[in-house]
This record gives sequence, structure tokens and C-alpha cells, in this order.
Amino acid sequence: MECSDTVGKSLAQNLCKKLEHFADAKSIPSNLIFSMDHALAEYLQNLVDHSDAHHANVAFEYDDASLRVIIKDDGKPYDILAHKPVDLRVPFAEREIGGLGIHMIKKMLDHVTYESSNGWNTAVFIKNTRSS
Amino acid sequence: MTPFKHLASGDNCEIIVDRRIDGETANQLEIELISMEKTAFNTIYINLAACNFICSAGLRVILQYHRKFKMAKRKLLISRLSPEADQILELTGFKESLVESV
Repeated sequence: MECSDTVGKSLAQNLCKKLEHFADAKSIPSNLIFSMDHALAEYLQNLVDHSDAHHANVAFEYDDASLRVIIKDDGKPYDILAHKPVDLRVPFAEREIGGLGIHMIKKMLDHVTYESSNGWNTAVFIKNTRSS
Repeated sequence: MTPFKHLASGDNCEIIVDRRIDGETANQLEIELISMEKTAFNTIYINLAACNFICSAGLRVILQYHRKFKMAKRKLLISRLSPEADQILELTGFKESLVESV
């Protein structure tokens, strides 16, 4: 299933609803959707807040092996895989406030890829059906 | 006016969050906590028993106001948790410092 939207305030809400409909139609287990819903919402909100993107296209795929979401946007490239990880060993009172969204994406998914070419950025999110 | 219910008991007040904490709800939660700063409650609890989604913006609001309340020698803590909220707080390292049973 593929869908697209202009990048604006409601982007994350709109496309997470599409994920919900896709999950209902495919009877996808709730633990997979829980993780993918959070990861997708965080990534799309970053696009809205920081990328200057105008368009985002999202494709949802599901089979016995995994749930996959492919997100393409025409904004400024930002490789989330290169982002400095949140250090949970730092005492809570001194913890940096930023970076939690990307931390959640990486922790909640089994595999993430990112590439940028010809003015389009592509992130692929994978949650394996056998993961907890 | 925010969409949250409250349960006040002595020096404590519990804010009931019965919906997703997405970007919009995170803003509403911040407004709620700003108004709580003006009250005399010593401890503010956020009840997440019916909340199954917390975005990073919501976590940032909770962390920011946890620090503000602490500086004022007051407390902002999480009371009840849904299994989903529990998972989010655990993987972001918030649980140990914020969760206390009412």
C-alpha cells in the first residue's frame, strides 16, 4: 500500500492513520504496530520540524517475515543512523533533552536504512514478525 | 482549557492522560503543567494507565517539568502505567527516575 502527503503539521497524524488502516486490513499483530507507529510518527515529525520537505511518500509492506515501511521525502538530507546515540548511563537529571525520537526509532525497530540521492531521501524501517 | 481530568488529594494532584501523547497532546500537557506550577500541590502525578502512545515531544515535556518541579523542591512523577507506556519509559531510561505508585 502506498500513500503520499504534503509535508505539514498533520503529516504524522495522517500517515500513522494510514498505517493503522493497513494493519487492520492485514491483521498485523499489535506489538509490531506499536513499534512501527512510534517510529513512523517520530520520523515524520522530524521531517515536519527540520527538513523543509514539501512531499513525503510512504509505502507499507507486510509478509510472514516482517513489516516494512519505506519513507521518501524531498527535504534536506539527515541521516538518522549517524545521529549521536542517547547515553542512558548519564544521570536522569543531567540527560540531554534532544535525540529521544531517533533513539526510539533505533530501539523499537530491527533494521533501519537511510540513503539520499537525486534530491530524494529514503528511509526503510523493518520490524521482524518474530521480534518481541 | 486542557482535555485532562484531575484527582486532587491533600498535597498531591494526579493528571489523568487517557489518550495518545502525540505532538498536539504534548503541547496540551505542557500547558497543564504550566498551570500546575501556579498551584500549591507538592507532588504532581501523571497517570498513564490509559495511554498507549508517547512521542518524544511528550517525553521532553515530562523531563523538562520534572526538572523545574525539582528545582522548586516539588515533584513531578508518573503514577500508573499501561503496558505500552511502561515499555516506552523503560527503553528511554525514564522509568527508574519517574515512576512511583500512588
